Amino acid sequence: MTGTSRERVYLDTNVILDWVARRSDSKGSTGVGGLIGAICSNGLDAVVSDIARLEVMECKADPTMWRAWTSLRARRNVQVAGCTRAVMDRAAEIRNHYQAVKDADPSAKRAPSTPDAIHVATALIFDCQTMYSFDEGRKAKDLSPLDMSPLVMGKYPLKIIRPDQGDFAAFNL
Amino acid sequence: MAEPKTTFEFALAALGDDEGDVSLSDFRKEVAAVEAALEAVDEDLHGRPQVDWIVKDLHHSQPTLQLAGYPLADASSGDGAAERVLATFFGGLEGLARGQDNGQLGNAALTAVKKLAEPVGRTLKKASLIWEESAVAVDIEFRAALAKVQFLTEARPEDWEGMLEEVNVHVVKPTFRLYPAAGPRWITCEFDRSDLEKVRAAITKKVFVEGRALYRPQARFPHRIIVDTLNTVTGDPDDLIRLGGASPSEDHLEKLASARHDWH
Repeated sequence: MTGTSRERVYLDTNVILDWVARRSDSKGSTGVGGLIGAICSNGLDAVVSDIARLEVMECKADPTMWRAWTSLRARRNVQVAGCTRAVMDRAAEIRNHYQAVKDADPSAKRAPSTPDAIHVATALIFDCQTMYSFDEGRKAKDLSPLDMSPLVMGKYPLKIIRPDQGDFAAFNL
Repeated sequence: MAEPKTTFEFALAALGDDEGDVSLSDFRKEVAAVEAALEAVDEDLHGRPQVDWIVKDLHHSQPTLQLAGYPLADASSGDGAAERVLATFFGGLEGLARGQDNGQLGNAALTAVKKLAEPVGRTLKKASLIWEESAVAVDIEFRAALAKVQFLTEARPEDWEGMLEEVNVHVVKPTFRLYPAAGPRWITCEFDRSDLEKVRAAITKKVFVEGRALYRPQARFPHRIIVDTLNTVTGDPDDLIRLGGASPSEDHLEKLASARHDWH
């Protein structure tokens, strides 16, 4: 009953989109390239939410994106996690917590959007140690997943960082 | 290693004249059952085990173990994980001793408790578990109460994916185990015997099942799925690495952020 577990990471939809769409960051052991490389060499286990399928096809509906999604899903070390009751309950808890913070302090950022809350909740329910996400394009007044790190709601440990803040050399087997 | 805040005691008594004459086989099985129960509760509460149980003391006249819980090296759940595990474990045991399922124990922990009670009345008189003010005797009365418990489950229509392994056809309803890459260690999937060839063809492959997922109260994952449909996950897993930058775009992150913003 001792020992350490394999590193398990959560991929926000924007990381999957960025891998397919950003040519400049497709090599090396850092950034999105390093992260995807570590997953493809089975150095890391990864979890993505079922709503990522909707989001990737909504934002980049082309055959290449669909190939990327089906390839990701076909990997043995990748779990596409459904929006189960446990995930939805945790997402509601996250939204309600940060809405209460906003109600108490009008200068605080707005509660996370429902999809953001679902992504963070899925990472927590599936016990990921790290969630990779971007916050480009967000309005500064909206709370992003990155703002919730390292303790979501002040009680659930989850490191949420940008891929360029990770070093995946040790996981690129 | 810091001193633990709490320890608990686990003692065995054999049937017969000398309660101390516990067989090695019973001792081994009972320790394994307690270990499995504690680990299952730990996983149910924290997602993955956080506590390493250390033997702090051993008594030989009546086989007794004193155990203390320490955080594992990669524990992330903060202080008090061992206390939470013991509180849930003893809470569940106390309910079962009264013939009630209070829903505190998940399926794997319940299975371990049933194994703990198996030798009782045959070769073992009782297993005593003591933690702070809680004391539970797994004895013949406990077994009788356990046999009457109506276990609570909830069924939800869901789909899950994972590796299909360990097909068992030597039961009324054939089953296989689904091993997801994350989440529960496995889910027992019950399928219709008419699908046996389809299941056999999918052994060691990644599959996608839809059906009725059975949950214990408060469980974050199902322990069983009554399968309606089963399909092999298609796609080339090695394709992903080749697709970096394959379809360039400048505004993909902004589009996603905008779509999410509309959910506010």
